[in-house]
Amino acid sequence: MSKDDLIDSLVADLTPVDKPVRAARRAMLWWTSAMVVTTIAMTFIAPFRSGFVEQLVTAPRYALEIFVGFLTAALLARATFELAVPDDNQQRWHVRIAVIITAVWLLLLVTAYWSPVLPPSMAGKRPHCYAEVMAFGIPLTMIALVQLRSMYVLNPLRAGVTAGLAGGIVPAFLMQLACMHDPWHILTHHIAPLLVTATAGAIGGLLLLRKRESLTDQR
Amino acid sequence: MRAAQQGDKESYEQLLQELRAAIADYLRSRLGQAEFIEDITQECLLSIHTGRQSYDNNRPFRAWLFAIVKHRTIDFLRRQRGPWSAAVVCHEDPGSLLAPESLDTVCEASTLLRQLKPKQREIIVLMKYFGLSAEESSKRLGITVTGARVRLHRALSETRRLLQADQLEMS
Repeated sequence: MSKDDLIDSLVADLTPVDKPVRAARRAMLWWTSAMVVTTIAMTFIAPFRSGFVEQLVTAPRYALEIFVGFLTAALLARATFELAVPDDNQQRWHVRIAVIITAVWLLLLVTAYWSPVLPPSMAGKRPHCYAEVMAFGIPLTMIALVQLRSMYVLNPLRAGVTAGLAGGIVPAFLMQLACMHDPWHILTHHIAPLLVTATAGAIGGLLLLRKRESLTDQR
Repeated sequence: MRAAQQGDKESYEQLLQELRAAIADYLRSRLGQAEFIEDITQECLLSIHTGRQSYDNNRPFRAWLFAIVKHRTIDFLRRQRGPWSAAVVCHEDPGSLLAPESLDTVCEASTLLRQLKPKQREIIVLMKYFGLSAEESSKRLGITVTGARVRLHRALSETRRLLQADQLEMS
């Protein structure tokens, strides 16, 4: 196709854009809905651990852990949607911030293994918490990927993995409030399933977000 | 771009014409006078068209544009293999055509290639500019076919890194 033919055909194909994409708005919408829906659904399965509000007030390290977890979930959601808007500088910045906060959160959780923030207890134990993390995390990931599909992802694998982490971290974070508090249990039953959601996100990203728009592909 | 998003065809045509020239200039300054510049430019225009909804008017247009251009460039280089016009001659006698001065001529015009390590530069020029196969390139370089493929993979990764770190300058 000659240069002018291509431009002519692109101009002929031009239709008005309904609403230009706003990554922050979409991230906020997805994340808020994910938190609300997951909280309600988890409550239906089993009640949240009794006394977690009091623990938040009386144990500052636990409150810090929860605050950083909350921040991690929000920033991962933001980074996910930012990866669907072509802008290297913004993407780099958001991904770096999300990675740093996630690392801090994981560090807090690992540190709690040697120095527990609350006395380890079986109170509030949910029988299949790891399965709940995956059962909620994977659909949330897929919903995020469908949202990203209408945006413009340049790196499907990276966006997919980030979406998987963002999707999985919502139930994983809520388990900190809903399930029993024991550092080893948190790492193995709440955090480890993120590997599954991230893998699902990677596969989903490659399947859903790859674009076939190359001229040479079309020949 | 804002007008184009609203469906203004006249503005859109003008934008695409200007972008075509700007993208081609940018690519020539980074990759030299390669024949595939026009192909990459067209792919960039197509991506700009399909991704126009993703442009947020509150953000700099240049950052959005060059993210697409850089991505499409590396994607193209990774995917494509000649033959380009130079490669047609190469295939007739792969050993003799690629004299050191041929490589130098290509590299001289490309700021990006000049930043690569000599071995990486050599493999990119052989396989992506002159369109030699991994087998042909490995014979010429005196390395194994796998070695040539690994070297190309590393060279393309480094190219991606350099492109992403590239300061955005547009004439």
